[in-house]
Amino acid sequence: MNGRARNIIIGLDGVPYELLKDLSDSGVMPNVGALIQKGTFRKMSSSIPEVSSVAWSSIITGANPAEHGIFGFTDIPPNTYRLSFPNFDNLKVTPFWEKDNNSKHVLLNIPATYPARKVNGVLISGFVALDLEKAVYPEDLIPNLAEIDYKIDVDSEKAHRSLELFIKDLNRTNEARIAAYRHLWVKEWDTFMLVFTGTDRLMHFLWDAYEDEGHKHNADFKNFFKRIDESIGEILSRVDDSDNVIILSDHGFEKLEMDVYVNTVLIKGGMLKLKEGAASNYSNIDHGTKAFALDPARIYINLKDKYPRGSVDPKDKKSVIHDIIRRFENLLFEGTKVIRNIYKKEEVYRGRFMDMAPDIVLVGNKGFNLKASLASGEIFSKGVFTGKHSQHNAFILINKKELINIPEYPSVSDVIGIINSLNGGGQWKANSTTENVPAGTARP
Amino acid sequence: MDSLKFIIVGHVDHGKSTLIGRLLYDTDSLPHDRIEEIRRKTGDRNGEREFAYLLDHLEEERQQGITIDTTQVFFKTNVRQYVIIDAPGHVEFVKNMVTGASQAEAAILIIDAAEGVKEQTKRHAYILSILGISQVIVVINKMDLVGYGQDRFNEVRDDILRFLGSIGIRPISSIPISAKNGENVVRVSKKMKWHKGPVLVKSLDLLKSRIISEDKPLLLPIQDVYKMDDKRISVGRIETGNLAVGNRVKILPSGQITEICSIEYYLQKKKRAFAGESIGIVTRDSVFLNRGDIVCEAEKEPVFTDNFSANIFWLTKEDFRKDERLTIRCATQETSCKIIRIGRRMDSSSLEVIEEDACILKNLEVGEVVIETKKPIAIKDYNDVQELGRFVFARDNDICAGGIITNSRGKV
Amino acid sequence: MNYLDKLENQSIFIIREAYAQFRNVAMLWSIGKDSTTLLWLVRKAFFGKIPFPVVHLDTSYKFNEIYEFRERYAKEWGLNLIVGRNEEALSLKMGPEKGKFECCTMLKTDALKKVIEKYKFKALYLAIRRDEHGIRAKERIFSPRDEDFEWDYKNQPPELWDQYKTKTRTEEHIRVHPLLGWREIDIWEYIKREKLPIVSLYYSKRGLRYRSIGCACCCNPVKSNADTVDKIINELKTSRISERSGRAQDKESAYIMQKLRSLGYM
Repeated sequence: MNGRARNIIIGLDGVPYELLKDLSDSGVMPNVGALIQKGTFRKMSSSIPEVSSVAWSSIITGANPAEHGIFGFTDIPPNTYRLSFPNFDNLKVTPFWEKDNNSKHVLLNIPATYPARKVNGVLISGFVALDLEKAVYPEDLIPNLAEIDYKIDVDSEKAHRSLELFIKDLNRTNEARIAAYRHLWVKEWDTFMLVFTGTDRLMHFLWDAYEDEGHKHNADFKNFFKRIDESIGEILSRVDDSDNVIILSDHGFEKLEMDVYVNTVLIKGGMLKLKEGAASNYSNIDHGTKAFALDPARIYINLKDKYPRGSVDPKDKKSVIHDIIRRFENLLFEGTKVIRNIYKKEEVYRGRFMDMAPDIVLVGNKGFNLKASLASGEIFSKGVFTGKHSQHNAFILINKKELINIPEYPSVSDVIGIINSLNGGGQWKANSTTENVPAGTARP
Repeated sequence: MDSLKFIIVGHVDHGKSTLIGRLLYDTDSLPHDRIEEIRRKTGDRNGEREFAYLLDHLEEERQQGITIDTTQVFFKTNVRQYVIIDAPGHVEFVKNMVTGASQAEAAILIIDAAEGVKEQTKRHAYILSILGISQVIVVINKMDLVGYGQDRFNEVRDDILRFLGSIGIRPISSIPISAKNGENVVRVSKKMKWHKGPVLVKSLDLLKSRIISEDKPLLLPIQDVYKMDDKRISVGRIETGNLAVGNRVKILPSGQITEICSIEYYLQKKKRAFAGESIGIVTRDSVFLNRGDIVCEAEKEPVFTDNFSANIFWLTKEDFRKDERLTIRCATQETSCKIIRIGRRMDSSSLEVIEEDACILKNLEVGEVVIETKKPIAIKDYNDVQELGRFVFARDNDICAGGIITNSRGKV
Repeated sequence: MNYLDKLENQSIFIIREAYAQFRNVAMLWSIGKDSTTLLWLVRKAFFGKIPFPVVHLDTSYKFNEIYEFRERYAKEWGLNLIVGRNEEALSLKMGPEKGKFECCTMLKTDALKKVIEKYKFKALYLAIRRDEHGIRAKERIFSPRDEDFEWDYKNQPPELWDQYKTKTRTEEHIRVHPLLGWREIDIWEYIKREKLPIVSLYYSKRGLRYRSIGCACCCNPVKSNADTVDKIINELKTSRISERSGRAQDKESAYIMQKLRSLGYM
C-alpha cells in the first residue's frame, strides 16, 4: 500500500467513554487527552449482548451477530443440550484483513480470533486462546514470543486468591504485550491492530479501586492505565499525520452492584426444569422446560423439534415469549427495576443465522450484572467482581477532526465503515448485507 | 502380556497421525461401540469412508493435543500391547520431545515417499541416536502417491540409510507403506508384491522389549538404604541381569565382595529377581551400602573411571562454557565433573560441525566431549549397557543436558 | 514382566527416588481410588512401614464412607495421618454455597499450604494421572511449585532416563507423581490384582456409581450397573475410546470454562 495512509487500530478492551475522559482530564492519560483535543471522540454502543467475543467479531467484520454467527462465549447447538464454545472457526463472515489480501496486516491480541489462521502478515490470537502454538501465524514467531515470555491473557484465577499476585501478573502480561507490539512494529505492514485486554480484567476485579481514591489498589489501577497511555504515546510518536489512528473499546464498564441470575428467575417461575438430583448443567435440562438462558442473558425457547426435550410447541412460542418478557419487566430488587431493555431477536438481529440467535436478550439496568448460571439457587447475590460490562458506553477516538461520515452515536458494527471512509472508501467492505438495521447493537 | 513403548518421529506432514489411526483401526483396537457409531455416521461399511472419518476425529484430537507435550495411545497385537508416545513435531520443543522419546524402547521413523528425507527427518533421527534408541523401523509412507513404485522406494530408502549409517543407526527394517490405504501396515499389500520384508506390525512384534537386559551381567544401582527392625535393606532397581539369594556380588566403589542374604518384597517371598524390578536386598556381611553404590558381578563389573568420552546434547537456553563445573548423574551415582575437551561442536539437525576444539555449547547443540569426574564412577559404553551408558548434567538442580558414553576408556 | 508389573516397579522406583532426594516428604491421600493405589505402592516401597506422614485434606464435606474408610485403614495400615483442615475458614462457615471455587481454595489449597508451612515438607506425593486432564499431559514426574503453588509449565527442565529434578530452593516444593503414566483402567486392573480395598461409593447402587469421589456436595454419580471391580473394568473397556475422545473435548472445554469462570463470564 505504498504511499497510502496506514491504519493503526488500538483496542482498549472494555474501557468506557467516561473513564477515558476522566483519566485524560485528570492527567493520568496525557497522550490520550491530547488526541481527544485534536481528533474525534465519540461514545459508541456495544453489541447485544455486550461481551467481547461478540463485539470484537462485529468490529472486525462490520456485521451483526446474526450475520457473523457469534452470539456469546458459549452456544448450544440445535438437537443437543451440549455447551459448545464458538471460536474463530465459527465466525461465518470474513474479517477485514481476509478481504484485503493485497495489504499486509499485523493483528495482535484481538479477542475471538483463535485458532490463528493464515493471513498476509501476522495474527496472534486473543482471548479465549488456549495455546500459544495454535494462536500464532506464522508459526516461526513462536520462539520470539517465547523469548519475551508472551502470554495471551493474565491468569485471572489469581485474582480470586490474591489481588497482589493478579496485579503482578497483569502488569507482566501487559509488558509482554508491549514487547510483542514493538517486535512486530518493525515488520512491513499497512494495518496494525493491537488490543490491550488487561484493561477489562483490571476493571472486573478492581472497579472499586478506580472509584475510591482511598482504595489500596487505586494507584495500581491508575498506573496500569498510565502505562497504556505511555504505549499509545509511543505509537503516536511513530506515525505520520496522514496515518489513521483509531482507538476504541468493544464495550463499556460500570460498577457492579448485584449479580442477577436469569436462569434462577426461570427456574423459580417454573419455566426451567432440571433433572431431579442431577448436576446443574445444560445436559440435564428436563421435559417441561419452556426456556433457558446462556450467558450473560440470552434466552432460548425450548422448542419441540429444536431441542432433545423440547417442550414448547411452535404455535405457543409467542405466548411463552410474552410470559418471559412480563416476568423480567417486573423483576425488582429493593424496589429498583433490574432490567433496562428486553429485546426480541427480530428487534436486534438480522441475517442468515437468525436461527442461531437467542429469542430474547436482556440488558441490565445500571449496576445489575446479568448471569446465566444454572447452579446459583438465588436470584440475587454478590461475588468477587466489582465491575461489570455496560452496553451503551464504549468509545471510539480517531486522530482526525471534522469527519462527516461518522454517526453521532456509532455502534461496534459501524467501525469497519468508519475506517473505510477514512481510507476514502472501497477497501474494507463491511459484511453487513442489511443496511439500516439496528444490527445487534441497538441504541437505547 | 508384554508391552512396548515406541515413538513415531519424522517430518510433521509425513503422516504420523494417519499411521496412528491406521494402527488403531486395523488392529481392531477401537471398541465396537465406537466403530458402530462411526458406521452410523458414515452410513457404509466398506471401510474406506469409515477410516477417513475416524482419521478426521483423530486428527482433531491430535490437533487439540498440540497443547500437549506428549500423549499416549494404546493398541494391541497378538504378541503384545503397544504404547505410542505421540510427540508433536515443533523444532522449538525438542526438550519435550526428548522427554517423551527418552521413555521409548523403539522408534518408527516416517518419511513421505514423494517428499523424501527432510531436515526435520534428520534432526529427529539424530535425537534418536543421541538418546540411544537403537531399535528403529523406517517406514516410507504415501507410496500411493508414487504409484507404489519400487524405484522411488529404493531411492528414498538409500538416502535415509546413508544418513542413519552416518549416525550409527541400523534400522531393523525399511517398509514401504500407505497408511492412508492400509498397505503393508497390518495387511500385506497386493500392490507392492516386490516388498519381501515384513509388514509394519510384524516388524514391531519382532522388536525387543527392555526386558532382554536380564541376560546381561547384574547391575543394581543402590537408591537408598532403609533400617527396618534391625535389618538394613538396600533398595534399588535391577537395571540389567538378575539376582538370586546366595549370589556373591561385588560393590562399587568400595570393591568389597559380599553375599545376598535375602531379597525383600512387601508381602512376598522371592529367591530371584530380574531386570526392571524395584527390590530390596540384605547382604550377608557387615557391608554398608550407600546411595550411588553399584552392586554387580565380580569379574563382569562395569568400567570404574574418572575419565571418558561422550556425546552430549545441550538442552537449556543458557550456554555451557568450558570452565564450568557441572553435576553429573549416571543411574544413582552423582558427582561433580568438568568437560575437559569439546572435540566437536555440532548443529543437531544438519550435524554440521560448527567448531573443532570448542569452548562453548549452545541450546540444542551437540558436543563430542571428554569428561573428567571428581570421583571415579561406574560406567559402560552406551552400546553395551544403556542404563550405565547414559547420564545427565545438572546445573542448579535442573537438568541441562543429556549424554551417552561413546568410549568408557577415556580419551579418544 | 507384564504391563502392570512394569507400572508398579516404575512407580516404586519413583517413590524411592523422591524419598532419597528429599527425606522430608508427605503423601496426599484423598482416599479415592488413585491415591489409595498410590498409598499401596508407597507401602510396598517401604515394606509396609511408611517413613513419612500421609495427609488428608478434610473439607468436612466429604462422604461419610470416606471418613469411615480413612479411620479403618489409617489404623490397619499404621499410618501417620495428618488431617489438614482450614479451621479458620470452617468457623466462618465456608462451604460450596459460597462459591465452589472459593470453597475449594479455602478448604483444600489453603489447608494444604498450612500443612506445608507447618511441617516444612520439601516434596509431596500426588496420585495424578496424565490422562485425567489436558493440562496434566504437560506434567513432569517431579514438578516444582513455587511459594504461591504456581506451576511454570512452559519452563520445565527436561526429564530423561529416570533422572529427575533434585533439590529445591527453600521457597518451593516438588510435586512427585508416581502414577503419571497410569490410565484409569490400569488403576482398576491393579486394584483387582492386588485386591485393594476401595471406598464403596465406586460400586453401583441402584443404578448409580461414582467415578471419582470428593466432597459429597460437589460429586455426581454416573449411571452404571457395575457393582464389582470386574464389571467396572468391563465398563471402562467397552467405552474406552469413546470416553477418551469425549474427554479430549471436555479437556479443552474445561479449560475454556475455567478461563470464562475466572472472569465471571459463566
